[in-house]
Amino acid sequence: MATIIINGEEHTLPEGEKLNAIQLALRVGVDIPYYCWHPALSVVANCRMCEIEVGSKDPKTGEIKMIPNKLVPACQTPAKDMTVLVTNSPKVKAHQRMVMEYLLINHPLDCPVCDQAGECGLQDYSYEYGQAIHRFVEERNVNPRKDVSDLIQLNQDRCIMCTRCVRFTREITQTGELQVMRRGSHAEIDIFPGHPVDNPLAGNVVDLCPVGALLDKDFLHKQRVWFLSKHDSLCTRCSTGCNVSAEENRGALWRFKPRFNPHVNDYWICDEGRASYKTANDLALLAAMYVRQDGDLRLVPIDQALNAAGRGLARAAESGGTIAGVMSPFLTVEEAYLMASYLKGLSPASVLALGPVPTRGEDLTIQPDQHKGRTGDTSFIVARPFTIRAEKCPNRRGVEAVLEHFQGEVIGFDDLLRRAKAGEFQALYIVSDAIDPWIGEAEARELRDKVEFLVMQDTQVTTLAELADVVLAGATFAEKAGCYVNADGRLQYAEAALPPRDGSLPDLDLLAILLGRGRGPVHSRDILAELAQMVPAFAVAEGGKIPAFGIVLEQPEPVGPGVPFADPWTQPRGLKGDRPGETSPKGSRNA
Amino acid sequence: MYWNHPSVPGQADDARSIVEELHEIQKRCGYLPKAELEALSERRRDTPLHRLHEVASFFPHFRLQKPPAVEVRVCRDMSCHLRGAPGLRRNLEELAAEIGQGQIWVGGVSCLGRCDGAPAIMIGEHVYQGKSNDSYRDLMRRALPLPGLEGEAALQPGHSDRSPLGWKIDPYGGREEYTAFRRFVAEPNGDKLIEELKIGDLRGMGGAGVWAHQKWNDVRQARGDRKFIVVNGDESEPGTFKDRELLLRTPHLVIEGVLLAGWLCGAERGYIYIRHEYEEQIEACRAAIARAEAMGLCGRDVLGTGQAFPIEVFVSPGGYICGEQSALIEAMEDHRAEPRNKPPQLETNGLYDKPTLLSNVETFAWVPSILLHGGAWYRDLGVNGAKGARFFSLSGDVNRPGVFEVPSGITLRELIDLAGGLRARQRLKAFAASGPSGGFLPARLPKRKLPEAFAARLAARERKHHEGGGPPPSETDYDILDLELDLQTMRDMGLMLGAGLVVYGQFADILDQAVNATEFFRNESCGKCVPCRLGSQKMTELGNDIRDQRYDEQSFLPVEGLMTELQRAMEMSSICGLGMVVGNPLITAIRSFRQDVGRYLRPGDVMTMPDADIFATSDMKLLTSDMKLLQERSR
Ligand code: SF4
Ligand code: SF4
Ligand code: FES
Repeated sequence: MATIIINGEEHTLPEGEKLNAIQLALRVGVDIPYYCWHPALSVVANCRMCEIEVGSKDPKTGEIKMIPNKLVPACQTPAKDMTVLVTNSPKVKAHQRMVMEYLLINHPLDCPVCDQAGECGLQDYSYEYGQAIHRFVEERNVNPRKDVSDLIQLNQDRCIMCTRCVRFTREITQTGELQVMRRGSHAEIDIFPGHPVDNPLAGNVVDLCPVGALLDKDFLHKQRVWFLSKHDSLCTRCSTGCNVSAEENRGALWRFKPRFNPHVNDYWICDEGRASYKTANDLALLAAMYVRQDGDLRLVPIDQALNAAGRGLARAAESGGTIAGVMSPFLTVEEAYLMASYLKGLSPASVLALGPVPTRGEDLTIQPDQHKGRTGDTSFIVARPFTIRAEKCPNRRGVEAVLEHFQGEVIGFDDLLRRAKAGEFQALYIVSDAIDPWIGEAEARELRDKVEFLVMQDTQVTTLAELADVVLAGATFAEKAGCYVNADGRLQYAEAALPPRDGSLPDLDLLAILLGRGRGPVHSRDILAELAQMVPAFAVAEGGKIPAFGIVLEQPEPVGPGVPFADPWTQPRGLKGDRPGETSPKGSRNA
Repeated sequence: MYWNHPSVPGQADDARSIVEELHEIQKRCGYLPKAELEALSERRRDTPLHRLHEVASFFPHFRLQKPPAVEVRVCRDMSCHLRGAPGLRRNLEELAAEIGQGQIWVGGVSCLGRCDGAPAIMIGEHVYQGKSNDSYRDLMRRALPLPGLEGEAALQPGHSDRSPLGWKIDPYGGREEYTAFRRFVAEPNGDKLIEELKIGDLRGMGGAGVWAHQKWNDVRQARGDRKFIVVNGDESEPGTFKDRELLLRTPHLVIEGVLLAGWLCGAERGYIYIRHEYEEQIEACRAAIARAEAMGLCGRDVLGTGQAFPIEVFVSPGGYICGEQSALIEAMEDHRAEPRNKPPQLETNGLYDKPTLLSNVETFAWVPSILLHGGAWYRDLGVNGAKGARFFSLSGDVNRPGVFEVPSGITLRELIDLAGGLRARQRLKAFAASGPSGGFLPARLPKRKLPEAFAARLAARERKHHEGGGPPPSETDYDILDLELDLQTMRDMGLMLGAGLVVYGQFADILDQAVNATEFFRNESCGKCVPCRLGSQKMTELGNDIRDQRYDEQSFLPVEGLMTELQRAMEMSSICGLGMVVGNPLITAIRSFRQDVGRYLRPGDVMTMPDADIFATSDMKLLTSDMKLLQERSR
């Protein structure tokens, strides 16, 4: 147990963790403003925003001694037993105001056209810690902006030289493209001429930048951030399952931002994942349901399409034919569970297979070192690896677990294809929701010819859909809520970020209707609770509840206090003050 | 491990630092061409381009663009500024425009350490000092590579006098005897060495005044498999050039000091870090090291003990900030010379994260004589109650600016007399006691404002002096000429004392000098921390605004408040000493030289200029009272 005195109040904290004063203060609900510090990066203490009064208390005499005449950066002050922190004295406040003035001195104050506005560390803090009157009359910085890569633009005039971006490329990706050029008031962030930022995690420098200096060209001038509503989602681009915030406005996604998860993606996402939000906005997504009548696919209302599908599959079962179901690794575990229940319910002899598992390249692990390549004090860092998987789907393991339960084995897609071509199945029900094409045209035709009845449930218009008897429009990752099991066996929950497209229904609802569970929307949580009860592999999700950082199916770790981290300026407006322990799912941001 | 650092280079002498490689390329090509950097990165395999680039771009000395045929830089700072540098620069610029055909570039440069020959200039890589404007013009003409002329190569920088001048610091009269070290190796009694330093009360001569015995003992006791000794010969504080003379005239003492420190601490290597503008000093030290090696004093086998202790010169890429201890270490480690956050201290986590003893040139140089003559001998060199002796560089408005070895506690009056008095019989107007860092002291201080402890001692002394037949002391004013130049006395007054003293005669414009000094800090800020990077710029602009007559007497008042606040914030929150002192020149100028400020203010409705009073508010005390902080600086 360590006793820490913050602003006169004593707090006891469990020992063992290495925290700095910022982290410590956050734990007990005290905000210390900061810019340059980031929990994954070494401490350089150059912004001086976090400076506070620090001292220590003599445990015997109770006497408190403060370091005289000097403020100390909280980011490099270790939280030790008997540390005394004062964060709200007039001296500290005056200092914060002064640093705010410094930082704003040469800042262009072009907030109206700056993309960072609304989640800018400068705006945020100048409101909270600054002062209304600006006493320095100053030439504003107006340096040309430059591209540091194809995707990232640097507006040097807005940079506050916190060097977070530089440290990221050195300490995390270890590619080191960014550097500080020159010195003093001429210092600038730059690349070596002709060597742009080029690494698979490059986009994270944009998230790290506390101001609008580094900008995502993809997002540039598209949206004002305060119009965006943020949804706790997961990236489905690979089986790592990075936690992202999917940000929506007017029925479209505008970007992904990483959400902290120490077990999965730390604070980062990869560039490919970052760009993958776009698939949810595709205008060519399947926007209606169809039934084949007189040889042609006809657009029909949703209930008719579902009736047709249900009838066709039931007929096949009744006539003694075998039904095969293909469950793509893009399904949530809840969907997989309902689909398996449904088909096995129609006939215990139904064959269930795992859909095609897209893979590309090899797993790429970026392994930051605790010390190597770091620039400053590293004692508060917990270095964690980041892996981009070759497996380009979110839930192979989850679907497999469901399959194991229902039929004791996992039948692969190739296997199924072979058996289908051999004419083993009378009806085929494929649920895809995959992003990339996974079957060639000739093969699709061959498959079609070998089954009597084909139901295709998808988000895209594919050859198979064009050949199917019934086409059901399912949901993209953004339109569905549910859980995935990532490559490490961690069960994680993704919120829906978009409403269902016109003409579609979330797959879970489609399956529930087929199962005859009524017409109202089903909640993934209820299905997860059921799954946890029925399928032992998912027992950890009892009651449909999983912790904020997810939970490993086989070896559930003890659930920690769950302390998501985000820089304060990226918090949704109005939720900034939320504390861990309060009910709001967002806003807690301890590291 | 607390810090990550490049692994400690091996003993092999071929492992060259980035800085050395860059020096080499620049020497060969005149600048650092992109292709050369790319080739270097390729050659060094583990050194990516951005590492080369960030280091190269940090130091103004390294050029990333092809320079013009002739580069002429005129020193911008303190004494040179006072003694006509701006005029000389205009002069040379005009001449360049006239004859240069676009091949001559004339610009400014930070203090070259030739304040005694102000104004000093640099042509190409060579420094020239103490010439008339006409001779400088002539030099520049000769530097131009015109048909029939050889260009810059034709210039021969002067060869300075290297005789030892009978200094007390040199027990050998210039001979390289190394007796103290030989004795110490024969009888290595470390406790005694520390004890003598303690008795002698030897302090760091860089300005911070840390007791040498403490520092030496800390490193001696520090745990670590490898330790280093580093001599801080960066000497870039305007007005300071005493190490220049010590390195030139007594390199053997510096080397012996390093040897003693190395032997005491069990260090594996010693470095003498010298600013690159000190060409002759670098050469002198290298030669002296080579001779010491030949005598078996350093190198592979020290005096037949079988122990190795090599010493080498590290040529600084330059810049005031390199004088900050940890920034100097960063530069040696091939990083941008940005000060580290402390703790940890260098004594435990220095060069390559190993215990490192880093002191000023002069501190090392005093040690041999202290060992030979005893600590008490050194202590008793002081006068007026002060202990020891030291070197001052004195420049500005005096007849014979230069380096003086004097007893600690000597009065300013005596020192100025040594330098031949003020130029052209001027009266003393102001005195800078620590380059630009401590700001400007007025010639007279109101007695009632003097700090109590100091005032009491002063009264006692004046009484004695008067009883002994001296003139009656002034009731109201304290004459700054009576100031005893001793660290402790100055601290009692809440003032700083460095080794670079600049004297201003009655015609000096202190506001102009202060703006100039602030510009120096702005130019030399490393830019790591926000308060200093932006605050120094802001201070400069405020100063320039005054000089540009942007304020009247009324609108100036809030500006003064703002400056005070800015100064306080920088002092409280900057990482290193540079940021802490940026405000001193302007703040002291405004407090003590109201008339000089008033000259630039347009008349307003009210007359608001109160008396000179540097102790006016507690801010001034705050300015310098927390000496512990300033001790972090080595200059
Ligand atoms: S670009 Fe952004 S992250 Fe990089 S140093 Fe500037 S403000 Fe910091
Ligand atoms: S105070 Fe100035 S010189 Fe020192 S670290 Fe900060 S920016 Fe650099
Ligand atoms: S967050 Fe501590 S100095 Fe920047």
